[in-house]
Amino acid sequence: MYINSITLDNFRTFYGSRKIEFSVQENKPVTIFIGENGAGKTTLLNAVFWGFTGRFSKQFDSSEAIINRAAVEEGVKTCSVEISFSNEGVTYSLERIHTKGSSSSSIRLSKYDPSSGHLIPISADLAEMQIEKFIPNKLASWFFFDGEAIGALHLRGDSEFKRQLRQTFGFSSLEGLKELLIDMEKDYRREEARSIKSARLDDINDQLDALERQQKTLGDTVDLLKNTINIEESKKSECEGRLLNYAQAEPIQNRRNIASTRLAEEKNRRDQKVKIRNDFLIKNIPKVILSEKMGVLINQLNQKEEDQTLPEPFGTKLIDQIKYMKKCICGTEVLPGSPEDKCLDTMLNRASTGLLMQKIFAFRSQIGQYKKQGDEYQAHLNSLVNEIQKCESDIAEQEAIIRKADEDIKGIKIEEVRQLKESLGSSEAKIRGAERDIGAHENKMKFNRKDIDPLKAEQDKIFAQQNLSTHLRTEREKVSKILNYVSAEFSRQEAEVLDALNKEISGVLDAYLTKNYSAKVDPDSYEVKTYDVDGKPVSLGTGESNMLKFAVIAAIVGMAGSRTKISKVNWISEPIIAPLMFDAPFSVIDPVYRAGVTKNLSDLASQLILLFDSGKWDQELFDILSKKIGKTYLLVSKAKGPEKSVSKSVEIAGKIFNLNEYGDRDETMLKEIQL
Amino acid sequence: MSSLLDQKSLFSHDHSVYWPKKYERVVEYLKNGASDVENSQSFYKYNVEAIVLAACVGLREGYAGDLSSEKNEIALSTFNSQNLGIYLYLIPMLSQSEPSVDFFRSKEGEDKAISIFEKYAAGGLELLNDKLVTKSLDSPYLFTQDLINLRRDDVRDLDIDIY
Repeated sequence: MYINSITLDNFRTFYGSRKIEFSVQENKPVTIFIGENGAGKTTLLNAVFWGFTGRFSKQFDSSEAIINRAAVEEGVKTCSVEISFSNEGVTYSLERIHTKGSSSSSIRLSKYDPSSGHLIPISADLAEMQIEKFIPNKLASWFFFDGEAIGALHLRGDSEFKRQLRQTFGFSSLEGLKELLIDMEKDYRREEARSIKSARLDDINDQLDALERQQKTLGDTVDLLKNTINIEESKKSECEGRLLNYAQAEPIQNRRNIASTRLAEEKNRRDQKVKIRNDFLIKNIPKVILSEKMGVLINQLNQKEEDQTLPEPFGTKLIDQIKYMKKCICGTEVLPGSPEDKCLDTMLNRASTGLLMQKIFAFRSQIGQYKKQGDEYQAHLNSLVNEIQKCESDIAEQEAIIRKADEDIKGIKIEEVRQLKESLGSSEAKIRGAERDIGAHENKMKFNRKDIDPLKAEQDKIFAQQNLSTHLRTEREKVSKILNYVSAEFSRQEAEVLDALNKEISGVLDAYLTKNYSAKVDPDSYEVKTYDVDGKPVSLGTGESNMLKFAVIAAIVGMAGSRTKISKVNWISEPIIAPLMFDAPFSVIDPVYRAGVTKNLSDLASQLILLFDSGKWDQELFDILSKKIGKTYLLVSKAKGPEKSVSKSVEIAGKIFNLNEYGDRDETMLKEIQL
Repeated sequence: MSSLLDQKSLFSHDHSVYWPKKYERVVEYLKNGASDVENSQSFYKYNVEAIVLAACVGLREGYAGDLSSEKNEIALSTFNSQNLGIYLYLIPMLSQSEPSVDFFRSKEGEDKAISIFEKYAAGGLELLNDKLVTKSLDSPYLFTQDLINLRRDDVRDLDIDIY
């Protein structure tokens, strides 16, 4: 089946009638849509999904009115989606119509008659059957897939996943039959037991009833716990998805923190150097100012020393003694006021005392050093200034890193990242707790089963010893035989499908993961487990885990479409040849896997419709897909009101295209671009 | 200090050094720039450091000042605690055409040395004050560094007679 075109008439954000033609060329089967977040990609996916099934995807907000708001204001009461598609050379037109106030929708299916050139209507009853043949309702959600649902897909033995998968592969009726037979057999047993008077049998019945009640309670609790795990897994997945958008926040913040620490250290170092320089200047500027004059003084003092005109080494104590005794050591009288006394005064003025000599020595020594320091001032100052400049340059470098980090981190809400991490941790803890409880409950159920089987055997023994109604026994044995057959057949078919599915999933994993992992679906819980090359179970990281989910989807689509070369399940009905429409295929897929996934998608279906978020579109994707792209559309968000300076754009094949515009109403515009 | 005698011992008597109060603004500027309190531009920490700088500038420019107006006092011990006592001799010694060691000899000599220092400090403060009028936007660091290049034509040197 190929979708030729879709015509949206006042459907959600699409105002008026909008026809979109898809590429149906065999060598270029890919149609791409690129739009910013909220532009209408999921709406477009749901238009096709709703057109075929009358349902919306789980992620789609169906609470909003289906009819375009602006159209409603103009009095429009209906909206519709018309899909033109071809199957085995015949072209059909499917129209689904919704009328305001109605909870359901109606369809009109017509077949194109090439001889007359007219559309021939098909009756409503036949129409539903016909569509079911083209794209079975139970499989539609795998073919029209909302990428954001990958995160919500649970592979840990989720009962919903098990139900969906069994339904997809046609087990539902067989499983229903098996359950019916089990209930019937139980009823017969009860009836037989009631007809026998045996205290032991009554006791066994009571025990069996109690055990079965307990098993039921335990089973319900396990389901609740698994549901808790699923809820927490969804929360975890959402947190991880949002954190993936903020993946760069942590390294940027770390880079900024390191730079901030270094900046503080550098500033501290610079301040210390400045202090050293200032101290140096304060101490040495006077020496520099006086340097020239100090040189002269030093020379003069040196000259005085040479000329022996510096104070002479006379002892002041000796002169004081002569003056006191009034007699020189040579015997000459030294009377106060006499020429001799005056001579002694003159000598005293020129005399050197130990202290004076020390003062002069200290002074000369000191000014010698000062002169030297004054002369070396510039060289020393230059070195200090260089050190400060080095600090300043380091400071500028760290400030530039911080500025760049601040620019990079713009738009990243650090508080939100913190809350997401907290929420992630909380979900992980709840999952661990629930897993632990499930383990305990399942163990208890296993023990109970060990008790149930011998009790049933004893019950059978007592039944055999009694002279029971032949009718009851025959009927029960008939039911048991059918049940055994159905169970065995169910197990065989299920094993066959699961084996094929395991090969498919492992094939996808093998193609896109660097590690040698294989996958196996547990037949009891339907948990998809992964194993390493030695067959040991491995737990996957978030990126790998989302890749595994993608592999499961790809495997199911591949098997349903019988496009797989790896395995075949003979009894599965006709292959489904349907287009694959994928919204936001990379919403939860790590960038490293994008190229592989894109290539895989284009190999998976006969017609591929991809809806990309402009933020996740890049040249690499274009390079991978370019040879297969037949049509390219932009989903342009038109906003009511005057034009703002803020605009969004996307680069495709080296050209820039605007993704938003302004006008008289809010709506999604479609623009086909030629590459 | 590597000399045999520390600067404290260069003086045998206790003294006070005076500088004109009217130049407090200059001293404050050299310490904290335009601000009243310590800040990132703060340079000199003590008044005594600024007074020594002023005396050096006064001497180099041959510009002695007047001390007749209101004065501020700095104890000799403050000079010695900052290892600046030597300038109280150095400035007077350098001011003489023929250096004399007699400043060291007696209390009178010490008094005379300090008196000469005070006059050059006052002169220097006046010069710095003049310069500050035109360079008040500079940081104390740049202002002080620029003093190395300061030259003044108006020389008003002392006529020194020690005794």
